Amino acid sequence: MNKYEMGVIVRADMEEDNYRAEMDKVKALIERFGGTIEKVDDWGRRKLSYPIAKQNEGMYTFITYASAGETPREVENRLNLSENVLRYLTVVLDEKAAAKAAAIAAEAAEKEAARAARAAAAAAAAAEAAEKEAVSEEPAEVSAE
Amino acid sequence: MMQKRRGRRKKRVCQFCVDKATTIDYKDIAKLRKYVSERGKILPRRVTGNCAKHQRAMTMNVKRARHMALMVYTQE
Repeated sequence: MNKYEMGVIVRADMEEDNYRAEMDKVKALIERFGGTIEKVDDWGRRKLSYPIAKQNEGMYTFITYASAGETPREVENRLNLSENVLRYLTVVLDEKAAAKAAAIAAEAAEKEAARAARAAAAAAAAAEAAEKEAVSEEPAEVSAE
Repeated sequence: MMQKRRGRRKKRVCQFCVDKATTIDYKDIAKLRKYVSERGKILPRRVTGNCAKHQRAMTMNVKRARHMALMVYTQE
């Protein structure tokens, strides 16, 4: 089983209901070929950087799914036939790299938290010391007068 | 000693190597935009300062973003 992320751009010049129906069709396709959908990221309407099929806007959706290796090809072959799908792109998700990056980020956050805690402790200690000093200095001042 | 470095050449450090927590994703256009010229062309390593590995990954993701009409291929 691999993890895939498929981005689909659907024509934006149609009804909302049709768009939903189109996306349901895509999801059904993935499931039909043995994929399990994990996450759907709906970006909605977005301006295209360049016109595709005389369209200046598109509806973007990103679907993350886990499946066997043949599934993406089968799904893409069928998306090719659809007039409403302007573009699609399937990428294999690099879970190892993502996990590594997340671990590094977590570690950095932990270090940062530890540093902040240490700084706070140091500041508190310094304040306490200053207070003590102030107290001890007072009688000296009196005697100087 | 410093005269060896003529012009306004900056110190080359690969940003992706420095910040290990970042991943390169074709959907993150804000990040990728830093690595293309005003015309939408991918900047060379000479300019970006990326290491070979990350330049390759970045290039691939810019091309993916272009395919998905998130970035331009060319811009006059």
